[in-house]
Amino acid sequence: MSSASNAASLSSREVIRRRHEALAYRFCGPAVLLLGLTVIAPVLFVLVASLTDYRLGRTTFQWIGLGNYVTMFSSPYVWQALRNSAVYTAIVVPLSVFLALFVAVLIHGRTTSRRFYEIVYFLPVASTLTAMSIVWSYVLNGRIGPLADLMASMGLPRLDFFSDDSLALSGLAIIGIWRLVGYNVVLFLAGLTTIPAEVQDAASLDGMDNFFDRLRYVTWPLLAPTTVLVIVLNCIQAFQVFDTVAVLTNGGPRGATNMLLYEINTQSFGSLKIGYGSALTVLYLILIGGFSILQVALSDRKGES
Amino acid sequence: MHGKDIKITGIRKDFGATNVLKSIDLHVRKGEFLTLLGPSGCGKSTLLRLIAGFDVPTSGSIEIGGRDVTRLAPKEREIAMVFQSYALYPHMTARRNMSVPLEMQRLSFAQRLPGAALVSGKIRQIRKEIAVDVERVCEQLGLASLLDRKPAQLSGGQRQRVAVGRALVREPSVFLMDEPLSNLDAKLRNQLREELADLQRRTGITFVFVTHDQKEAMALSDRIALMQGGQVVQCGTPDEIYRVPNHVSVARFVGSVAINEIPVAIRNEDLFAGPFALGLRAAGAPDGAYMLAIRAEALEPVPQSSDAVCLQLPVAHVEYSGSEVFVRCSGRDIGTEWIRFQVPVEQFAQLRAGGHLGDTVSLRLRAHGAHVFTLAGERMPAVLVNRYETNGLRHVLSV
Amino acid sequence: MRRGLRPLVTSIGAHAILLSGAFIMVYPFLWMWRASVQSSGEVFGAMKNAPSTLESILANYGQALFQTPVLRFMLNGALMTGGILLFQVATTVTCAYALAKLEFRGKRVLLALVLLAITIPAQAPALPLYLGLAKLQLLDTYLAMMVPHLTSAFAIFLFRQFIRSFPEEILLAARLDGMTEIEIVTRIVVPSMLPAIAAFSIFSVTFHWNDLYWPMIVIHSIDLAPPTLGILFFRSQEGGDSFGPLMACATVVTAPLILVFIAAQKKFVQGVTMSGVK
Repeated sequence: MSSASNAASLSSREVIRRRHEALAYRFCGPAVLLLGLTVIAPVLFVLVASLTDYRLGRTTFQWIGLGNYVTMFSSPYVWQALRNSAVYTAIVVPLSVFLALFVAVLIHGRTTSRRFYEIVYFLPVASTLTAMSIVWSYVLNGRIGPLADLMASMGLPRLDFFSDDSLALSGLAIIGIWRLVGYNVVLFLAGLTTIPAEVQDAASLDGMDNFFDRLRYVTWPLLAPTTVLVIVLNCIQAFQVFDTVAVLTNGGPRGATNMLLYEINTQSFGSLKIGYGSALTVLYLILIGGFSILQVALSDRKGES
Repeated sequence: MHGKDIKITGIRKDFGATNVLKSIDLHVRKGEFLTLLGPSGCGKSTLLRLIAGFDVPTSGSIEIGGRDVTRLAPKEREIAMVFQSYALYPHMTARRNMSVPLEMQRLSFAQRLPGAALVSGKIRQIRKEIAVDVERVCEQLGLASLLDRKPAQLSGGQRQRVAVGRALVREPSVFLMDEPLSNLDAKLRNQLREELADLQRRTGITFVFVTHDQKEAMALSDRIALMQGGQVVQCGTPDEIYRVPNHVSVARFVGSVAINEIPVAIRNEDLFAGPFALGLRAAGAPDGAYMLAIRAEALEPVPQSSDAVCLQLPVAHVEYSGSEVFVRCSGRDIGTEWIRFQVPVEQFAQLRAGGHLGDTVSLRLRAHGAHVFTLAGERMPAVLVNRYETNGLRHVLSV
Repeated sequence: MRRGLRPLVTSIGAHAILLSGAFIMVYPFLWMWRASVQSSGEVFGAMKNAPSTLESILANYGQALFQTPVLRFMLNGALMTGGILLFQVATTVTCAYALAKLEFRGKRVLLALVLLAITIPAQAPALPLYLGLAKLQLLDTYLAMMVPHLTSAFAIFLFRQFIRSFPEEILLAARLDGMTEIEIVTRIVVPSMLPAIAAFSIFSVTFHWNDLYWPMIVIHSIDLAPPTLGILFFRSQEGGDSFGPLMACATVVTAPLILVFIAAQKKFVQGVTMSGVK
C-alpha cells in the first residue's frame, strides 16, 4: 500500500526510472567496466605518465612537468615524423579523393557492369595489408620488380622505391592510394545514390549532357557533404599509417618514412621510455581526436539536413 | 510563346522483357491541356518520359511541331518539365535554379567557365538578359520575394511555383508535368490547380499533364487520354469520358463514387437483372448477357407506392457526409455484391419519414448515367432510354 | 542520330578508363597469385627447365602449409577474432539496449563516455595496456591479444542507433506478455538486429584479422602469432630463398577475407565502411 501511494506521488518518469535502474546498471556493467579499463583508464594514465620520466624496469620516477613535451618538440625525429606524416597525407588524400570521385561517377553511370567494378575497386580494402605490402615490396622493387622492368623497357631509369630515401615515401603513398581509392569509391557511390533521379532528369532537360557540366552544376555540389566526410576520414587513416612502414621500410631509409605512429611505436616499445612515449601518444591523440571530432560534427550536421 | 502539337505514332516501349507501352497513337493539339490519366503502372509516366526524351521508345515516333524528335536529346526538344518531387537543385537558390537552364541555353561551355564574365562584356550582357528574364517570370508567378532562398527554405507550394518558374523561363512550346500536385495538401492543391489552368490559358503553351487523380484531370483538362495496361483506352473531353465511356474500365476509373455494376440480360431490347425488369430499354441491342454500369447519382430512391418500374433492394448501411447521404444496399438478389447511391439529406429525411427508406428501398434507374457494356467490357453502341419515358403516354392514359 | 552514337562513345571511354584502373587495383593480387604458382627462379626471369605449374603449386603451397606454421597462424587469427567478436557482441547489445530504451541515472554521462571512446584511436591505450599486461605476466598470450578490444564503444553506439528505431509498442506488448527485460533483448531485439550485428561482425573481424600493430607489441612466440605477424616471422626466417612459399603464404592469409567479401559483397562493404558513415 505504502509503495503504491509513494509511486503516486512520483512523476511518471521517476516511476519508470525506478523500475529500470537496477536492470540498466546490470546491462551496462560489463561494457562500462571494460571501456573504463581498456580505454578510459589507459588514456588517463597516458596523460599523467607523460609528465614523468618513467622507464620500464626502473623502480622510481620523477615528475618532470612538461619536460617530455619539450624534448619531443625539440627532437628532430619527431619533427621528421610529423613532416613525413603530413607529406604522406598531402599526397595520398587529394589523389585518392579525386581519383575515387572520378571513378565513382563513371561507375555510377554503368548498369550491368556496375557490380563488377565495385568488387574490383574494393578488393584492396578487403585484403590483408601486411600480406599485400610484402607483394608490393616486390612489385616496386628496383631490381626485380615489374614496374622497374616496364620503365627500363621504355628507356627510363629503374626506380627502386624503398632503398631510395627520396622515393620511399612516394612508394608508401602509392600503396596508400591503392587501398584508399576503393574505400572512397564506395562512400562516393553511396553519396551518388542519394541524388534523386528526377534531379538528374531535370539536369539533362536543362541541357547538361556534358560530363563536366553535370559534374560542375549537379554532382559535385550535391556530393560536397560526402566529400568533406571522405577527406576527414582519409586524413585520419593517413595519419594512422603503420603496417606498410613496419613491413617495408622500418621508417628508413635514413628516417625518410618514419611516420608519427611508427615513431610512437619505436619510442614506446623499442626503448620502453614510458614517459616520453606517453607524451607522443598525447600528441597523436590530439591530432586524431581533432579529426574525429570534426568527423562526428560533420556527420551530425549531415544527419540533421 | 506558342504551343506546338505533339504527334505520337505507334509508340512501343519495353524494359527488358517487360512490355510497358503497347502501341500508343495520340495527337496532342497545339495549345491544348491534355491529361494522361490512369492508375499507377499504366504507363503514363513512361509515355511522358518518352516525350521528354529521357528514354528512347522501342519503336514508333514522336513529332513535336512537325519535327521528328524521337531520338533527340531532351534539351533539343523545346520542352520543359515539372517533376513530381520538383527536382529543384537543392544547393542553388530559387534564382539560380531558374537562371541555370538559361545559361545552359544561351552560353557555350567556354562562356560558362567561372570568371569568363570578367573577361567578356558580351557574356555580361547575356547574363544581364537572363536576370531580366528570370525577374519577369518571377513577377508573373509572384515569386519575387522568394528568389534568394534555397529549396529547403521553401514550403511545398512555393517549391512547386519555383519549379513551374524554372520550366517557364525557358519559353518552351510544350510543358510536361508529372503529378506536380500530388505532394501538396488538399487546399493548396486546389489553389495551384487553378493557377496552372490560368497559366495554360494565358501562355497558350501545349500542356501534357500526368495524374492518377481523375478529379484533377476532369477539372483541368481540355482533353483526357485515359490509359490502362500500356494503352490509351479512351481519349476525349472530360465530359465525353464521363458521359460516354467506351470501355467499362473507363467508367470504373472516373467519377468520385465507384460506379455500380450489375450483370444484366437483354430480351427484346428490355433490360433484366435476374428476375427484375429494370425499366431500361437498349434500342437495337441484340439479346444476350451484358454488364450494366450505372452511376450512383443515376439511382433515384422513390416512394415504395410509386408504380414506376423500379428495383427493390435491402439497405445494408447508411453513411452521412454533410449534405449527402450515402446508402449501400445488398445486390445479392440481382447478382452483384453492393449497390451504392447517394441522396441529398433533405430528401433522405422525407423518404425516411414516409417509411420509404427503412430496411428496403425502391430505386428507379435513370438512363442518363447508365451504360451497357459487353461482357468483354466494350461499350454497346445502343442508346439507352427509360422505358418509363418511352411509355410515358400509355402510362398516363391507363390512369 | 547523334544521340544514338554519343552514349556509345561515352560508354566505351568510361569502360576504357575503368578497366585500366581496375587492372592496377587487381595487379598486386595477380602478381601474388602468379608468384605463388611458379618456382622462385621463374618469377624473376626466364629459367631453363622450369618445373611445371602444378609442381610449383605443390611445392610452394606444400611448403607454406605443412613446413611452416601458416595453418597455426590462421587458427590463431580465427581464435583471436572469434573471441573478440563474441565478447564485443555479448557486452554491447545489452548496454545498447539500456541506452536506447531504459531510463536510468547517469545515462547521459555514459552516452558521452561512449562517444568519447569512439574518437580515441585504437593505438592510444596501447602503452598502458602493455604495462598492465606485463605486470600481470600476461604478455604473449591469447588473452593479451584480445584485451584491448573486449568491448567496443563503436558497437554500443551503432546498436543503440538501431535499437532506438525499434518500435516501442512491441516492447510494451512483450512486457505485457510477461517477458523479462533480458528475454526481450534475447528473443525480440537481437533477432531483429541480426543485419546490424552481421555488418558489425564483418567490420570487427576484418579489422582484427588485419591488425598488425597490437599483436606486434604483445606477441613474441611464433606459435601464438596471428596471420599478419606470422607472415612477417615467415619472411624474416626464410628470407629470399623461399619466395614462392612466401607468396603462397600471403595468398592463404589474404584469401579468407577476400572470399567472404566476394560471397557477401553488400554486407562486407557495409561493414567495412560503416565506421565512416556512422
